[in-house]
Amino acid sequence: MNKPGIYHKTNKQITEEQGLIDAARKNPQHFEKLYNSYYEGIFRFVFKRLEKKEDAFDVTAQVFLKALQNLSKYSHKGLPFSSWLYRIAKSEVYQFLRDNNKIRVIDIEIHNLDDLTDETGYAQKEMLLQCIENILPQLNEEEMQLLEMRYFEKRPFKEVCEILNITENNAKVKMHRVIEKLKIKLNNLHQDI
Amino acid sequence: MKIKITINREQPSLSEINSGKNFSALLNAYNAFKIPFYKTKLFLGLSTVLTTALLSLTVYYFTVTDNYKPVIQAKTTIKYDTASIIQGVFNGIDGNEKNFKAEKKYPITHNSTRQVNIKPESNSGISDKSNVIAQDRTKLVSEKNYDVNIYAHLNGKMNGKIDYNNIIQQPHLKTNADTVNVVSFFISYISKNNKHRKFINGNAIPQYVLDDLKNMINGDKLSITEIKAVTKSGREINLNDLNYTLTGTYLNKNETGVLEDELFEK
Repeated sequence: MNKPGIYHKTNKQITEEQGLIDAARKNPQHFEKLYNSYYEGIFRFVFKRLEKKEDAFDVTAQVFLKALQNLSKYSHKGLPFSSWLYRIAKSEVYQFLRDNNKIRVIDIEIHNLDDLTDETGYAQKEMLLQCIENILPQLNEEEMQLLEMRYFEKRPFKEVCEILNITENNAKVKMHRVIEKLKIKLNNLHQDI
Repeated sequence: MKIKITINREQPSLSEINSGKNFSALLNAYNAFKIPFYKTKLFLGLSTVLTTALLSLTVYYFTVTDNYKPVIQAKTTIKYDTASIIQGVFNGIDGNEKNFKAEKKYPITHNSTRQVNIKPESNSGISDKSNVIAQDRTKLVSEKNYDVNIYAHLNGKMNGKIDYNNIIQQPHLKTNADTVNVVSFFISYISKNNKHRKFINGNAIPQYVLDDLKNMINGDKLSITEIKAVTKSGREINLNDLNYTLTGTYLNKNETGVLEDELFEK
């Protein structure tokens, strides 16, 4: 029996995916199955960072085109193919924002803030939200992405590290710092009230 | 970069997302943007390697191969025998040797540091005004010669080197060899229609002589005599005293006009 794999994929699924990638390298027509599997995920990832839906469609198309063009460079390191796609998506989003001078969107869903309330010890989501709004512009890009992917999108740590191309320890240290900043901000807010 | 925070933003439905899917358009774009071979990294890598190889070959051709050999080359070996008698051999490029023997002896004296100073008693063959310092006498008597090589290059410049062949250490240079700078010489060139004899103060063969060399015909003669030179470390070398003459009679002419070794064949 196969052990459960990372990011909710079994090892068998990862192996099958690798087979599809190998086939797509030889013939791009075989990329269709991968395209269909990951289109929605990538689109949502892109959409959460951009203002307009049309822009998100354009960038998503660009992500898959880049992936297909660079499929020969992809090497399987035991991680799902999606991590590689998300990494391309991340860089394409930033490229798009830079080229078009667009506004970077950070999409927060209130119901996703449970983990963050546990971490900071503040159960009042409104106050936490107010605090996040204050602190986000003060964070650097990497810290912002860490917070976004880990707490607003609820991605596993390992996947976040793979997308950001940093080690897990490094990510945890940075995350800890961000949480500490949030706590200080929350304390200040609390005192003001 | 400006940031906008949205709370509970409305997400597109699955059908809306799927409406954006278009795999055939992706394939068309892929085929349209396929990188041509001449823009690939493989091509760039290959062309870089080939260009470098070509450049290296060109440099090699003009510097290392026979095509850039010195036109005039001579070698003098000065030997000390156990009795400190000077012997000399002149090797022309043709391989012919001229032997000579100087009868004067060099007195050898020791000092406390076991260094040996050699001074010529008189002008006995080598104009060796500076002291020859050897590390010890054993070396002096067992390995006893040094070579002087003088080259005249196609651009007319003459230079050379001296190799002490392990006898004389050059403490300041930490080597047994030294460069030789030509100070002056006589050059004479005799052809059917032309004739020069000129004292040159410096190390460059005049351009008009070089031009003559390029047009040499069979029977023309060239000689460079009375070469005075000085090593980088200050040792004076007067090759005239050693009956040192570079001379040759031209027999063959290279079709490409490049002067080669046969310039001095007899």
